[in-house]
Amino acid sequence: MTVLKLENIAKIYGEGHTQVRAVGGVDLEVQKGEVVLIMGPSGSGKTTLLSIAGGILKPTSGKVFWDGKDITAISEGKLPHLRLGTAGFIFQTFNLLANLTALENVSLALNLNGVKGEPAVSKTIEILKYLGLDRRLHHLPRDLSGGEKQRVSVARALINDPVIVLADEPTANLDSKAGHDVAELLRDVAKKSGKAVVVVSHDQRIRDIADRVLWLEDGRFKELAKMATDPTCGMQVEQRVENPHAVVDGKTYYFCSPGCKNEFLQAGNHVDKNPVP
Amino acid sequence: MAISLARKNLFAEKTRLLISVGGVAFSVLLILVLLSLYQGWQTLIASYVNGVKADVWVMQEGTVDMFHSVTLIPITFRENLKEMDGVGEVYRLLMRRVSIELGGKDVDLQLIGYDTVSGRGGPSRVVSGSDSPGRGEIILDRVFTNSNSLKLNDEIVVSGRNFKIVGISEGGNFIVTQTGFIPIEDAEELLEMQIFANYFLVSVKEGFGAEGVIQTIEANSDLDARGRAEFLEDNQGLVTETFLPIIEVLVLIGFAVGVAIVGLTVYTATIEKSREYGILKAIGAGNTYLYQTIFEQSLISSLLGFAVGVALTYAVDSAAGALVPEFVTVIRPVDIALVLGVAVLMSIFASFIPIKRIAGLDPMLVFKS
Repeated sequence: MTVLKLENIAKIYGEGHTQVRAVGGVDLEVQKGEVVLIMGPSGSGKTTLLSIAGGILKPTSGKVFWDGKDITAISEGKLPHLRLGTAGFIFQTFNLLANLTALENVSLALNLNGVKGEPAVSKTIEILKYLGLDRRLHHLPRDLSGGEKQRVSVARALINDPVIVLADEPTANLDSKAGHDVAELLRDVAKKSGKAVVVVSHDQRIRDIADRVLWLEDGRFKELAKMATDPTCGMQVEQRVENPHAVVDGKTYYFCSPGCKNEFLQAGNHVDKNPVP
Repeated sequence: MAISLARKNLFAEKTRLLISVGGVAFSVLLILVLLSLYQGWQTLIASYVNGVKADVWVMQEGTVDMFHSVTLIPITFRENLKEMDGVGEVYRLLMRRVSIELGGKDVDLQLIGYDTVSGRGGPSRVVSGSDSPGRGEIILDRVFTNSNSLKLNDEIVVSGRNFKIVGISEGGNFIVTQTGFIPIEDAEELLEMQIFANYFLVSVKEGFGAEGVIQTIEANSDLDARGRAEFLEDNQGLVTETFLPIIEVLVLIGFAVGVAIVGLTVYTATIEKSREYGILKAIGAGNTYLYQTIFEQSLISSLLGFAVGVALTYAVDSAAGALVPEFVTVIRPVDIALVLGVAVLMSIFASFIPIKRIAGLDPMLVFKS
């Protein structure tokens, strides 16, 4: 069942000769229980697309459907409340409110949706316990680790039971274990709770849990089959002859820059370093 | 109950809260002290007329009040007045502001000659000594004796004549001058007013109303007659006309100071928390919630400042009143309510610019690291 649908989405910033096309004619459908990972180089329009999908940013053209409802037709005034109950956000920098405890940060999202007092507190405690934060309920964000902050952020995104969860680089500021835990958590969110999860990330761990990986470049999706991983820095690069590449032992390697290529060639050890078959 | 982000943010930044509350408290103090001083002076000015047992004050035509006009009425009018319908007793009052030398400096005294037998026109309250001066004796207002270090049985010289202080009274402080009560016979000689009165104090016979008697007097003479309430109001006009414009300006300044301080502290808090407001917008908070949060911060600061300001006003009024006798204040509940309204108004004005700022905030900023 499609819960998020983007139809021919375009976003243009500026006018005249300063005009920049951040996203151009993107289509996307995300099913219930599916994890979609969007990757791409910096400035490719990933965050813009995520914001449009989450109803934070209006597209220049095209339509966004949440559970079949066209949200581009909804007025700016009504959109926040709809967003509150339909889309949950997880951010790279956690974006918790500094003067509120973990419990209050999550409860506030419920309060905004009209649930207040004891019912809000009980529901919040329940979800925070589920996420292993039962001993951190009354801690301020400054007293939490990165992984704990991100779990609070996940709790806040889920507390209003949205059908769509949108995450922007959710593991970028986390160490290896915390990043892995959050990746697993996102998978659970999709598979156990049946949410549609869209993640913008460069993280391989997210790639491991994603049902689908999309490559966004210059505001358009490109087929990931034609992408290769730079063996030096791990970045995804297009398999184009114009790009820096090297053939070693009959295998072709693609690089994001001549620097990465030189480093690779100087290192000498090329075994199992992501050659293109 | 919902979580109050406004309270959380406000009390997390104690220094800023202190500045904000202090600003409003100062502003409330300034406004309330001025209002209480204004009311205090109104009460002072009214105190003497209020204490005089007279239904009708009769004066020379065109007299404005006790302070701006000289009223001279030939003594013969007394008999004419007595013959008019509804007029009961008629008492003569002599009154003049004189300058006397005390301790090497000139001080003003509102000298009042009155009928010591009936006591009409005499002091409202005598707090020590005699309440009826004999010839060559004077009753002085307490503020005057305190200001000039005088006490009972001291002597003062008024227009070349010695007077012994036999009583100390209250309710005769006209701010810039105070009352000195002497027998009317002494006043006649001293002021050379044997054939004149400044005012006649008239009592109305039973069965007649003051208003009717006033009409009768004015219809049958060239004199002005006023009921006590009207004459009271005329005299209070001195304070209203002289001080009200000044007070209005100072109250406006106080208001502006309060708005500026709360406005600045709320604005800087809003700028600092811009990202958090952006987060709230992104997760689905409507503008109304954000505006309420800002206004609540502003309102809490203003109300705390109001409470501190009111407490400070009582302390300042009490301390200043003890040090400076002329600093007479009256804090009326209605003025406190008025200042509460002003404090709420401050918070509305102070919220305006921060709210405008938040209205235009782009929630996309949450994606920036």
